[in-house]
Amino acid sequence: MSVAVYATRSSSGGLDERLAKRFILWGGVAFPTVVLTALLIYGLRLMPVLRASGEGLTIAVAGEQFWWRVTYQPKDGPPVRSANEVRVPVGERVAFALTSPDVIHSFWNPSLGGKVDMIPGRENRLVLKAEKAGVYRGVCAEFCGASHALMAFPVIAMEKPDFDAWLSGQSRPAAEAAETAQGKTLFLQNGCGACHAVAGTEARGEVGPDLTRFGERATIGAGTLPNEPEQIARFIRETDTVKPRVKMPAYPALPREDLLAIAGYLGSLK
Amino acid sequence: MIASTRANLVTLITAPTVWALHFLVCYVTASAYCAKTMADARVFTGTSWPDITVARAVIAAATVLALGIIALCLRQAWGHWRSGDVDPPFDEPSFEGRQGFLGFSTILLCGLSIIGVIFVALPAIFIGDCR
Amino acid sequence: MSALDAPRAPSQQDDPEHRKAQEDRLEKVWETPGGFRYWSAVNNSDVGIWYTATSLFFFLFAGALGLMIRTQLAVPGNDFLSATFYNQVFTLHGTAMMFLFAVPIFEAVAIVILPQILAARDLPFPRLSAFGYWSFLLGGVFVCGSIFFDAAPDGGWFMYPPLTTDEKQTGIGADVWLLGLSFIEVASIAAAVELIVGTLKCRPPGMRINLMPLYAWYVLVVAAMILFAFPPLIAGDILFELERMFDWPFFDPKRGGDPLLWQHLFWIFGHPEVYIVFLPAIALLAMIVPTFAQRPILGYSWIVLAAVGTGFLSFGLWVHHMFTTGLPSISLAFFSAASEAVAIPTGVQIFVFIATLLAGRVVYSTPMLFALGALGIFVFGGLTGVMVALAPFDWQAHDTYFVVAHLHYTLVGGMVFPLMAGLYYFYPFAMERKLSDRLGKWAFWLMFVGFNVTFLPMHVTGLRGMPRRVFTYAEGLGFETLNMVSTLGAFVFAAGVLVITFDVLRPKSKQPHAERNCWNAGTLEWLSETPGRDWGVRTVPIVTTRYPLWDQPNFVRDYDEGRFYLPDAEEGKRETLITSVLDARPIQCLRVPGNTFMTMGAAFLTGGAFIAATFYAWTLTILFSIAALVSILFWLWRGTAIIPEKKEKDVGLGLKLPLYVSGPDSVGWWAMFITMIGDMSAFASLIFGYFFYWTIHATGFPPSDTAGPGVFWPGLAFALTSASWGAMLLARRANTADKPLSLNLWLVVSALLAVGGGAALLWGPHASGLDPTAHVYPATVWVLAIWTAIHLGVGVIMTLYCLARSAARKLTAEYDIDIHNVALFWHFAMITMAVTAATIALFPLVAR
Repeated sequence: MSVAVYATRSSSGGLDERLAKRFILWGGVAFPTVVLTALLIYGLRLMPVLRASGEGLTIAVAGEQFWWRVTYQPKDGPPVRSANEVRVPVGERVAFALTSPDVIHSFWNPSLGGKVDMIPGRENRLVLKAEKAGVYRGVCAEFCGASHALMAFPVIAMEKPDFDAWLSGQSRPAAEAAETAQGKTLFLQNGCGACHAVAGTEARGEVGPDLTRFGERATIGAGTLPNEPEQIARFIRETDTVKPRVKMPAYPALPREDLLAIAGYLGSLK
Repeated sequence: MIASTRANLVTLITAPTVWALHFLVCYVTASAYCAKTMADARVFTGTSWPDITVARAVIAAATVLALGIIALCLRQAWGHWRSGDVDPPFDEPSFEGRQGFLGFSTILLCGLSIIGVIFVALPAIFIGDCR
Repeated sequence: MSALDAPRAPSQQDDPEHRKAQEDRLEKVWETPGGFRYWSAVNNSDVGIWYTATSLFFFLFAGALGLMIRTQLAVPGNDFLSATFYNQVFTLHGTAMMFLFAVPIFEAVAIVILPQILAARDLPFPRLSAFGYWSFLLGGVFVCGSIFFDAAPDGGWFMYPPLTTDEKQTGIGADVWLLGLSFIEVASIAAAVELIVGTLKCRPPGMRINLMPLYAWYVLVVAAMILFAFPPLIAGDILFELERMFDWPFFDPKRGGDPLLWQHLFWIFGHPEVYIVFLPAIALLAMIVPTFAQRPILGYSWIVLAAVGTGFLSFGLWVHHMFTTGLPSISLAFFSAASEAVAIPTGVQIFVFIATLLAGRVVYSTPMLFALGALGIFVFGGLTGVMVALAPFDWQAHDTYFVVAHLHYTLVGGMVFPLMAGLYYFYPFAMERKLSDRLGKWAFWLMFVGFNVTFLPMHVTGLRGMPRRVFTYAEGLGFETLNMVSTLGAFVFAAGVLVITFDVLRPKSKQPHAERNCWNAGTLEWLSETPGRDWGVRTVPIVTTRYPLWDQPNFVRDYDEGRFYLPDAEEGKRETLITSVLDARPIQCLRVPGNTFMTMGAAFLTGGAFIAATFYAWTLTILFSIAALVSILFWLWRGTAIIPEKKEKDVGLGLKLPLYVSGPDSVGWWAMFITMIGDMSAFASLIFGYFFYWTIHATGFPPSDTAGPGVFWPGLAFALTSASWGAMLLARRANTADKPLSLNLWLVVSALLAVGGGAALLWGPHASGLDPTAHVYPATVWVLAIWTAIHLGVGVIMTLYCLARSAARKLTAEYDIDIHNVALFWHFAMITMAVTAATIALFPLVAR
């Protein structure tokens, strides 16, 4: 660029043609070719490495409008259902099987690795490895409709023993407490269980996110709002405003105390 | 049109056309091979990724063939360029000017096509399976 | 005849009275009509200016949408736009910028300047240009207008199914996108045909291929690219609409379809399109740089290498938009390799420009400023391009603001800035007055600074993890400041655009005319006088150098005195010279058609059919289609293959040229040939679709439980079509032998056989009960059969047209353009038939 500006500023018009030809040949052809060849070889060698296989644990993630269905498939042991949050052991290459039942989404956790699209009718593979324990934010990267912007998921990397303990603890039903019993009743009465599942209760719906460990999650609505009772109530009352075109209907008619009771119940599920 | 003592627009684009065909052969061979060796092309069900030795052999053969044809183009273009004994910038209003220009441009395009063919063949060296 | 001496021999042109009379006749023939008839003009200078103005208007419109996007994203959690409206806004921003501005402006500018660069009075098919313009205007207004009814497309400018095939989610917007743009694409292809024929056949005598201005080289390459890039998208659009309207499951995985086929077809179009946008803008620089360096371009052959090389390589890049779709690494790697390779010719062009500037004496002014800004921005966009071409890097950057930044750097640097350079450079040529240098410099700095402030931070925004196409973002993720800076920059950039808009629109009647050849350029378009004359060129000159205005002695004087070809319009007809492809030897004096409203009518009727289809108003669609067909036939009948009053004409300098030629010598034959190349690439895309489905259905395609169309009916269709084709060749032979009776007989036989062939082809899948909504296999078979049958139908209409022409004595042994062109069409119809029959009937026999 600076050469170009210099070229226009130098009034002498001096450069002779021979030199100019050499300039084109070396600057325009030879130099880029060498650099590009090196870059290309570097990139090609990297590709198979980045697509190495996993080391045992496979997590199936389905992108749906506009949330993430997560199923842990440990090598030994039953599958574990969850939603909108992924936990992985530190230091292990974890394989993700990525699908979508509706439209194209893209599974992307920038701190851990590249993105892979979730395409209806296909199952794509991605292998990620967390080097350090921590929480890494991920998002949907392929435009998937009105609430594409509101479709995040945290990946929580845990030390291997902690993770194993967590995973094996998932088969027990969610904790029940007396003070949230009314919330539970309201939750079931209003038909929430038709779409959502809470393990150990009559709520066995599979259309929407599994809520069994809802209280463990930091956010609701796939990263839309913080997981606090007031916000849960708001989400149920005005779903479509908070998250446009989401499939869950809004419940504007529910009284505030009922909403808070349901929120209290959901928040207690750990 | 392609093999001709007089350079024309077809001789000009022969080399990049060979590049395009070579590219197509490489891509179609590898993709179709991977798609067909996996039980279902859209879902990975096997235990390991199929290797692509057969496709690599086809790509190697296609590369040698493509480079050979481009070399022939280059030789012919060299003849066109030299026949008129004219120098750049080839702006004489004559048959020689035209011949020199087309010959020289064809040489440049052959060069680019050779780089292109080699670039496109490189993946087969570094990637050995369908992952 | 020595080209340089000939014009100076004593001639009638020495007499000023004689010249005045010639000028008056020329003026009258080429006069732009007044009043409402102004809109019937078809001359390139009128149509080209409308075209340019319209696409610049769409640029401003799409730019305003861009500002709305930036306003929405200025702060986190903004509610300036709702999510659903935001999605319409960004979709329309991309769509309008790409389809209504970037590509059409190339055609628009080429229609304005190409004929003058080649010293032709007009392009060979002025009415086709006018048809293209009216189609573009109608389609563009239709697509853009949808947003005012909350009905704009909202699936992103590349419209990925299944989001966009879901009618509940996308409504009518997707149909507006598909049909509105298909209509415009057809017009684009028409313009491409026109420009290719124009470049190859309308050059001035002596302008051999090695003397052709670089702009013409680029036009040739880009128009050829359009022929191979746009048809795949049209094929994709057809599949897409069949799914939306009739539930044919091309992209529905539940019934064997695959959303990825759309991505392939879209990007086979989409990536070359980037270069279709970029190369013509670079072509403007290739005209501007030598002028402002005041020396010939250094490395003419290198530019030709770069243009042709980029044209080819750009077709090997499409999957780099699909790096994250989970295709095997090896498949991605080829595209990564080609994407790196394409950087080489691109770099060569830039080094050629810099070398030319280094070797010349640079005159500093607004066009040069924009040209330098363009180089700077584009080089940066090229560098990030080399990065995203590497798949591992792209897995991070894809679909983020990094890519948004990258694509704006390449498109604004590679297209908008050169275009603004071209606007300031060519404005005096087209509008006779100069734009303000002072305002231009203001505009440049506002745009240059504004652009970089907007888009440079976006690289960081993207790398920090902000995906594209989000209507909002949360606080505390590190995006706030960067987005605010980008928004501020966008308004500065917009201020620059406003300054230019003001400069263009401000009244200039008090301002003196620009002097002739005001930049002291060397190429032919600067021959035009100011104030301008309607005739395009006074006389078609003989060219012996690349920069005749610099290098040919007495050139302008001889030109002004009409001492070259066609200095007169004795018969009161619009005429231009047709020359040979390589050496530009004069071969014909072409009568080009004059002003008419027919093209506007045909365009509006065709557009009516597309628009009615958008609303699923089938009766109206059919009525409009029939009306459009009739209007086009009427136009052809009245305006093409006109038999001249004499065989030959003295075009000046003692040269006699025929007025009527047919076959490969005629421009009509070339247009048919080139159009059919485009048609073939659409057909190839459909065939690609068939084999694509074959590869992804590893367990059998056709599925084992489905019977295909069998061998008998496609075989019969092939046999009948072959016979029909043979009859057409016999008809052509009978015509050449001057046997009208036998001609008519063979034409009838050909038409009947073709009807039988089409019917047999359709009967195959019908007889075996293939239900196109059940699975993608029957749908694919049906689509190939229908495509082929439609071609046979068009062939029959053409055959009957020849029959009518023969009956009206407009088609005879001597005047035989029609039959040659129709026979040429039949060659391609035959290929289509053969490939279709082999694919649907024979391939299942050998395929696994």
